[in-house]
This record gives sequence, structure tokens and C-alpha cells, in this order.
Amino acid sequence: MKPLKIQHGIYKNLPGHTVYNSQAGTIVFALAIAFKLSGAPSIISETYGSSTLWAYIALSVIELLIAFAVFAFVRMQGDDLLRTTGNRFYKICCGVCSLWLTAKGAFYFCYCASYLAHEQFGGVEPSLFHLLLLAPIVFMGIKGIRTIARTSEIFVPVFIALIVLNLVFLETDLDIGRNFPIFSIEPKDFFSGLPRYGLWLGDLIPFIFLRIKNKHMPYLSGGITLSLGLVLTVIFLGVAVYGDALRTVTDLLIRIAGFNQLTMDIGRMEWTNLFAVIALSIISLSFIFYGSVAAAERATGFSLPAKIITSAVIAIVILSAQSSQAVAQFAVGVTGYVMSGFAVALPLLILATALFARRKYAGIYKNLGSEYLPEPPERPDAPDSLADNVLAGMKESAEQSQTIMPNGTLEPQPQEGNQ
Amino acid sequence: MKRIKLPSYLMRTKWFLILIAIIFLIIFGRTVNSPALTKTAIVLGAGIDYNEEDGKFIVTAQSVLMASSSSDSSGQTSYVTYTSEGDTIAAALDDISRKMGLLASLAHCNVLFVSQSVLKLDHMQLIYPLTGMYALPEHAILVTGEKSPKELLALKIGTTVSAPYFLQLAFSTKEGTNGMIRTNVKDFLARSLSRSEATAIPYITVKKLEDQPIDQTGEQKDNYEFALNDALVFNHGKSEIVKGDLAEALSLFLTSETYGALNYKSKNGETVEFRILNKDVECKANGRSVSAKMELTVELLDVQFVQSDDILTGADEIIKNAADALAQKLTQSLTQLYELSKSMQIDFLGLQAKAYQSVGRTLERNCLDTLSFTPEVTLRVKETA
Repeated sequence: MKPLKIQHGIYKNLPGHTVYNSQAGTIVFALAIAFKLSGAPSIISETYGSSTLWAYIALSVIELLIAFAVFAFVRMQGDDLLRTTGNRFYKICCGVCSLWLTAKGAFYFCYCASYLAHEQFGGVEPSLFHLLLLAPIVFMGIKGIRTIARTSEIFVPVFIALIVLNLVFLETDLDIGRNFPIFSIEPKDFFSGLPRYGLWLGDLIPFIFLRIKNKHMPYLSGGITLSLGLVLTVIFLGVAVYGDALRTVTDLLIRIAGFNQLTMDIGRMEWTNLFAVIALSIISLSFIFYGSVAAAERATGFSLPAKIITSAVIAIVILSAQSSQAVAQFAVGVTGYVMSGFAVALPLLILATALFARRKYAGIYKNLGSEYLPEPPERPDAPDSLADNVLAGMKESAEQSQTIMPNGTLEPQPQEGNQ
Repeated sequence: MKRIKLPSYLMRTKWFLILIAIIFLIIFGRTVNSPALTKTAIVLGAGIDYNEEDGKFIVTAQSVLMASSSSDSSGQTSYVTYTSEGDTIAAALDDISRKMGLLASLAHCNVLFVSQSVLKLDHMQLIYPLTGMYALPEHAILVTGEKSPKELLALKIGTTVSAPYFLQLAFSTKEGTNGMIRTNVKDFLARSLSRSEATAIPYITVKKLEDQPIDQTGEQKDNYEFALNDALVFNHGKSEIVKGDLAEALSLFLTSETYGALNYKSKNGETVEFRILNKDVECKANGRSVSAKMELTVELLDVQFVQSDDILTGADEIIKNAADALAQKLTQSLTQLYELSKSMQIDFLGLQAKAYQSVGRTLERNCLDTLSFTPEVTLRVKETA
């Protein structure tokens, strides 16, 4: 069957909670760059030193497993199935997921606010900065996935170009050997310490509540591959450039743009990646916000309280905390182990529940989404109107009153006025 | 025509984003401390000194003043140098801003002068506030010298009145860099926080110009020339000045891009000058044995005192022999540097950091004596038109 070509303007006709794979791919990219490439390298490098890249690779493997569970669930329309069958366990999981995503959103907000306010907007009243950063996030989160997806689809390609160009023009002393030894700490400590960074795991979980409509190209798998490749490349270069001094780098993506070889000719280039980090942080945080609200909607049936509560929690945490850095640091302590546990357990449990429900309710599963299928024609044997643009009803009435010519067309009638 | 209700109109994404952008610009435009260029002192070079007796930082900043903010009625751009003391670098910089009546900005400062006393302090605490809060570029070059940063910054060069501007040009153009080490703030921190805990920066010596420049008003006095060929090698406790051939070999080993000339003089007085075209240094460790292979591609620049009736080119045996002899000399210099680093216990060649990459976390700290170093230099003479 010839694939349906997607026309401009069709976005508005998408059913709710549905995004195209190209949009999903750009959201995946935004999540990876905003969260994993800004302040995280510095925080992870404090413990791991030369093993930072390898710690990232280990975390990426876990993230890929989570992504596999999430997108397998999405592909089998698990959300539709479990909602249709009114699965209680799914509701409980969604309730927990909503709380977890609210906490993750609050921690991430503090994390983004701390490095942006500290390094890029020094001298600004922090609460004012936080409120202004919060406004677009809450707005996009409340507006829903369509707004987030469209914003991401428009901005992300520009930022991909900026980030890649900054890497292409990178010119500084680097020693790739600084990525060795692989285990700068005991292997036991290496692996047992990884779950501390659970804040950076499970960013893709909100996709559970979405349907993904595929375009021709594999944009989603492309987005995951590009994000992962770019994150690991920047970390690899970051360690090669800074070595153990990586822990002093508040935002790796912004700092690395400072070594653009055009700097000596046209001035400092950090602002290019600064724009990218701010915009991608807003898109990513609003996606987490959306996930929290969507999860609450599935757990309780209402979304409005979740919208208010999630916004309020983030605002209260950031305004009451003594410092946003302290909150971000709190998230990588014991809390990190808890966050890791939820990030891994939730998608696996939800996927297992969906697989079980698919077997139990095979009949329902077979008819899932049938409301979106095109209605079969009421009269399949009606004369076709595609060739001559004459409606079938008109042809039928003409057949009754007029002569049909041997070639199948109607006998032309004298027009009024042609006397 | 469809009538749009006001709330849904306002809730349209693009309008909301535009609104947010306007609010962002209005509020931040008023709250962010971003003064006009005419109220900003663009610091070209900063100097940091530390008085070990009273524990005060002595910070010097040389700024270029825009014509409109300068007191000079002729509207010319002028360079001003201010010095201030403080318990921290930030306190001294703030005091400089007060003295100038302008906000000192390090965002375009490409040269940082440091004294040897400063290098004994915690390097991370020294640099972090400057790159973080004061936006000092990480590609700013670190230099030290026989004079204090305050004195060095105030010196006039024959070609320009600004010493930092001269250094910025000297280090960025990459020409004539014989023996000049280019260590920027990032490399300084990366090497200092590595297992080697040591690095090298240019050590500037100054000499009064024998012939002072003359302009329409007569002879200009007190102009100096900077010699940039020496290096200061140091770790947190010790330092040593490396000069001459050793400094040149060190520069070739440490600095990624070294251009300029290499000179060979035989015992018989035959002199051959080569120009470096390309350089490739590969430093590897196999356990505790570190080896360095340096490949230099050069072209023939000049030949003197050689007995030959022919016009010599890079293909001639005499030149090839001279290149081989020069390679051997450089190998010896690198070996001498290794011996010096062992005797001084300053790992400025970064051997411990290399060995750590091979041996791993079991490598004990301060193990320079247990490492071996084998340098190998080759010179390839390229024939040029």
C-alpha cells in the first residue's frame, strides 16, 4: 500500500496526545542536550574523574533499556489498552509516575536555574529569574504536547546546527588519553555509584502517555542515535580538553563553544550554545511537566489539580530553597538512588502490565484505535466520481432520466439560453 | 468570518511566546547589570600578585577606554592602568572599578600576568572565580616574569603603549614563536589538576630599548623590549626557570602549535636555520615507561658558513645531516628536561599523568623517580620553492 503523504496543516488534525516521530525525535534531542550536557558533566566528574565518559556510557546503556521499554509500550498502544480496560495497577503506576515526575521536574528546574543564574545571569535577583524561567515552562506544559512538540520541531534543528558547528570549529589543546584509565575508582565503587545520578535517567518516560505517528523516515530512532552520539562525543571531547579540571566547568556545552576558532576573529562564541541551552531547557522541562500532568490525569481522571500542584511544587521548592544548587546537589545524594529505582522500575512494570493485559483482553486489543480508522464506504459499488468530478448521486439520477452514451458518459443536454 | 474569543486568542502559543520575550527583555533589561560600553572598562590584561606577608592580593588591570568615555579631549582611545589591594581578587577588582568610575570587565582580557607567589596558592581557587564570575576567557594566556605583574603591565613597548596588547598579538599570531610556550587558563588548570600537578608558562624578561623610538615631539623614553623565550616550570610548591635550548625543546613538546625557526650550529661554526612547517607529538605510556615521538616537518630558511659552491636546498646531504644533528640535539634537550624534572621533583613534562593513563588508579602519587622517559625527535626537511 502506498504510504500516506503528510500534508502541511495536518498537525491540527492529529488526535490528542499524538505526535509525529519527527517531533518525538526532536524532544528526545532536547532532553538529552539540556539535561545531560550542561551541568551534569561537572557533577559526575567530581566523583569519576577520568572515568566520566565511561560512567556516561554505562548510564546511556540503562537509558537505552528504559527507552526500549517506553517505546515498546508506545508501539503496542499500551496506554490506550490499559485505559480502555481500566487497569487499576496502571492507575497506581501513573500516580507514582506523576509524583516522581513532579519531583524530577522540581530538581531539574533547580539544576537548570542554578547554572544559568549562577554563571550566565550573575547579579540578577534569583527569584525573579526563577519566576521568569518558570512562566514559559508552565505555559507550555499546560497547553500540552502539541505546543511542546511544535516548538521543539521548529527550534531543535537550528540548535543541532549550532552545536555541531561549534564542535567542527573547536580548536584547543586536547589529549584523548585523559579518558583513561576506564576505572579511576574501584570497579565496585564505579558501578555502585552510578545510581546516584538517577536524576538523569528516565527522561523519556512521559512518552508513555503519547501515541507516535510515523512519517516516512525513522526520525525517532535517528533522534535517539544522534542525541546519544552527540552527548557521548561532547563528553569525550570535554574530558580530553579539560581532564580533571572538568569539575570546574559549570556548563560544558557553553564553555566548549568558547574554543571556537572564530573567537579570535569575531569575538566570544559562548552565546551560541547559551541560547541553545536556555531554549532546550525550557522545552525539556515543559515536557517533564506535561508528563506529570498526563500521568495524574490517568491516575485520577483529572488534569487541572495536577497542573496547579506541579506548578506550585516547583515554585515553592525554588523560592523556599536557600539555594538552587543545594537542591540540585540533594538530588544526587541518597535521593538519586530512589530516582534511579523509579526510572528503571516504572517503565518495566508498565510494559509488563500492558503485555499481560494484551493477552487477557486480546479482543479489545484487536479493536484498539478503530475509531481512528476511516469509515468503510456505505455503498462500495457506487459509480466513481474521481475521473469526471460528477457526484455518484447525480450520475444515478441522470441514469434514470437521461441516455447513457456508448462510451459511458451522459448525453449532453442543451443548456438554457442556447436557443 | 470566525470570531475569536479573547482568551483563546491570548492562549495562542506564538503570542504568548512573544509576550514572554517582551516581559523578559523589559524586566531583565532593567535588572541585569549590563552598562553601556562607554561605562565599561574593557580590561586588556590583568595582573595578580600576592603579598605573602600580609596575605593581600595586589590586582592590576590595564583597560582600554573608548574615545567617548576617555578624559582625553582629542577623542583618542587611551590605555589606563590601575592597581588595588584586597583580601580577595574580587575585592581588589571591585576597588579598581571604583577608582576608575567604570565597571571593569574581564570578558575580553586575553592575557593574565601572575607572580610566582600567586602560583603557590590553590590554582582552582585562583582561576575559578575569574572564569566564573568575571567571565575571563578560558583561552587567555598566562604569563609571569622577572618583574611584578604591576610593573610588567605598566611597561611601554616600542610598537605599542600596551604590554598586554603586544602579548596578545605575540601569542595569537603564532609567528616567531621560538621557544615561546602558550599556556592558556584552561590548560593551566587541566595540567595543574592532573596527576602531574605541574605545568609551564612563559617567563618574561625585559630589557630597556637601546634606541628609543622617535616621533614628531622627539625621543620617547622608557620603552622596553620583552623576551618571551624562557619558561617557568612549577608545581604548587616549587618552581624553576628554564632557558635557552631547553626552553625551546619544552615549547616544542608542550605547545600544540609551534611555528617559527629552529637553529643548528655545528662545532665548526656551520649554521643552518630551519622554519617549522608542521609538528606532531605523540606521547605514549606503556606501564611506567613513557615514550615521546616528535616529528617536525621543516623547510630550509638560511645557511651560513658552510663550505659549498652550490646553492643548497633541503635535498642536499649537508642539510639533511644538519637536520639529523638538530633532531639529536632536541632529543638530548628533552632528556635533560626529564632529568631536571626528576631532580626538581616538578613533573612539567606531564609524565605522571601519562603513566596514570596506562597504569591506572594503582599508580601512586609523586612517583616521578619510578618512571622512565624515552624521547625521539625526527626532522623531515621539506623541499619548498
